[in-house]
Amino acid sequence: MPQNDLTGADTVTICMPVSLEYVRILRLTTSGMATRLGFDVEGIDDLRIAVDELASAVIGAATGPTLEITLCARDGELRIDGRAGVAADCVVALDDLSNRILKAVSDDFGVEVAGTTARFWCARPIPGPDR
Amino acid sequence: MGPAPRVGVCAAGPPGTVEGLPGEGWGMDERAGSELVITTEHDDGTLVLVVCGDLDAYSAPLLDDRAQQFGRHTGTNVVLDLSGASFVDSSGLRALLSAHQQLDALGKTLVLRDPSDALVRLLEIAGLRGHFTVAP
Repeated sequence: MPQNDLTGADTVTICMPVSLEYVRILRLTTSGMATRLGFDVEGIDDLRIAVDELASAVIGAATGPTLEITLCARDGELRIDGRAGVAADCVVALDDLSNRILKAVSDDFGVEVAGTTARFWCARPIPGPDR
Repeated sequence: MGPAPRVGVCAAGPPGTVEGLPGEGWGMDERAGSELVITTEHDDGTLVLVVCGDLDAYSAPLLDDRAQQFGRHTGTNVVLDLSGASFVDSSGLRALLSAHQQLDALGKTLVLRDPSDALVRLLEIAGLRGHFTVAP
């Protein structure tokens, strides 16, 4: 069976405490999902770095008890979304160094706050069968 | 003391909960409280801090603290063996930058010895490779 013989969507959801201590678990899950989808070593490393930077930024501002992350393989891309509760006037900002790193490892990423929820996302195309 | 943290992981279905994580079997290092282990070695008269594990936002403060302590209490430059730095993020880089600046103020040099591929790649992405003294 090909590694990325996916029909519909493959989805993994994680609920973890809002603590930097647990970001490693998110990196491990991301690595496992990316491996299953056929990403090469560099692609896996890029995804680990992206999810680490984004989750750490949101955790730094979060006030809610949990961070919910969904890793979804659909329409030819692996998309990772995360969300956590924040104060209403909260600003989640990525500094210059984080932005520089994220631009190098991800084509599509972002962080935003809407009301009392902060969310982040990043996405990367799933490698085709010819890779 | 509040309730123990809970981590739930589920695949292709409603969220489930796996209780008891983290804990035994997850390789948590008690000294660091994380997956980062820092040890001290003597190498031909030079003291070396050997960094092993993940250098991220959770563990980076430990490295920052150790490097500064080391710098204050030794008369030599500070050598960090980073061959075992399996993961590094922007927080890890900031810890290295901070240690570099603090040691520079003390008239000492921070030497990065044998940086891992993960660290080299991040230094290149960040445009910081030339910022540090790197030794093979």
